[in-house]
Amino acid sequence: MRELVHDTGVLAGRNLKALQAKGLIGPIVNPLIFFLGFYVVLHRILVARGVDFGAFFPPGIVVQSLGLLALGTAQFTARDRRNGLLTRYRMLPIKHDAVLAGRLLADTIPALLSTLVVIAAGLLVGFRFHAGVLPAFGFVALAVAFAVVLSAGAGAAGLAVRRSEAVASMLFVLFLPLVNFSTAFVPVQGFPGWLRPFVKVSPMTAVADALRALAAGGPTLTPLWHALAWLTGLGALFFWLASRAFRRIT
Amino acid sequence: VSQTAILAGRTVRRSLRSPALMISSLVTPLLLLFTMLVMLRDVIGRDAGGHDYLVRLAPLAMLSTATIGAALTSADFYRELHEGIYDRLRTMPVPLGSVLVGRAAGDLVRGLLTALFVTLVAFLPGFRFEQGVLGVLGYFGVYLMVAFMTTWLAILVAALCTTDTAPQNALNAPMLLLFFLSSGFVPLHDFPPVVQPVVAVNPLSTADNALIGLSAGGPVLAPVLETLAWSAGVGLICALLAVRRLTALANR
Repeated sequence: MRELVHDTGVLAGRNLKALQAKGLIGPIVNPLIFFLGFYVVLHRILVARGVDFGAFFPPGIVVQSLGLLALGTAQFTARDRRNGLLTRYRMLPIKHDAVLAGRLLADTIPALLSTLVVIAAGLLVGFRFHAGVLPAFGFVALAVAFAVVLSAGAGAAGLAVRRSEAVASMLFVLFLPLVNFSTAFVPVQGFPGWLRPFVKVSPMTAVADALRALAAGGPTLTPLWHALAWLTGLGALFFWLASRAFRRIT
Repeated sequence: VSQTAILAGRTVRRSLRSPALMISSLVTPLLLLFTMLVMLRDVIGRDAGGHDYLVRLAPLAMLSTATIGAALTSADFYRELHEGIYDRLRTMPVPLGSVLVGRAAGDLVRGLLTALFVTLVAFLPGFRFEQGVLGVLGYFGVYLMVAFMTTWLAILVAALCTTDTAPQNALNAPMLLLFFLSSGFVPLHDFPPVVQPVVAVNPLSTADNALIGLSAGGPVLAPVLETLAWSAGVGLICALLAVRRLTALANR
């Protein structure tokens, strides 16, 4: 166990250096662009429909931005695989689970940055943590956990597929409808009747609504339970897929 | 001219062979069309002209093949530049200008194909041309204006960049903002008053207005002229700068 922790730390450090070389601009600037873009498009329309914009909007952007950010992990793992780094890792006397854990641990940093940036921008449009300090930490933790789970999924896809450019666009094709057909941007009542059941059970809806509850207060347990159930289930599935794909490489 | 045509054909074939490029420049606009339509059709409702949201969104989805395509084209052109293709072409008696025009023409043809496809798909949820044959021709003419502008911008950006990820990084954010700040997404009066002037002059807004006029009906002349001014202005400036930059690189 101590080895696993140590190896994970070392590999996470290496991944972070790679992220730094790529620039941490993306995790900061991209969420701001989406925040601004969706703000100008949706503000008047949602306010006119009686939505409490300040409370509703920023959590949706957290879901959307962190999701997009996590998809980038696919390209990282695909590149590490292509240039033989992962094969070398397998030869080394390190815990194999540490490779994946190190990847995910490094991914928490940009996810944390993005979350804080969106919260800061949200404060400008009336977003507040009414529920207190502990739920506010819960908000950040849930957002980062969501990003890590999606990173595991994207990482598994990056390991499994040979062409790294194709992985990113394929994942985007899956992600875009999932996030748009959720309560990330528009409340359930805004969707046509036939789509509402799908919107209601979507994992994106679960996370967005749980984030909102953690900030606004009120009934928090049910949305939080839904979100955690989704994240645990998906996390277990993605982690299993990723470690299986890793074992298959060599 | 025939050299240009051959080089254009090369660009088209190259993009047909690269599935990631075609998928991204087709699938994303189609996804935007359907997800935005479902998400916002009921929320926005009919606009002042009595048009359904689709009348506004279908043209924007088509235009987004040009804006999303710009980042992809730019990255692809950068790769070509640094694969040495152009070094080889330079040793042959082919003027640099016709090499670039060939590249741009090829990108325009590919863009037009994706635009046709996106428009055809938009017929499924109910998009229709109601202004006759001239309207249809004008509709794709306006698309070509916008694509002319974004293609030359993409070529210029690729010529200026020094790393292979730089073209996409440089173009993604501005193109995304252009997309969000256009009246193709939501009607002009639904934007916050502060940004309405920006939205009104955005080339995607003027093009979307022209496209609404040419498909469903409404004013055509003014938005077409505005779009043409953007396209000719930005397109020609970018083209001139790109030729200058690449000539300088070639003589170094």
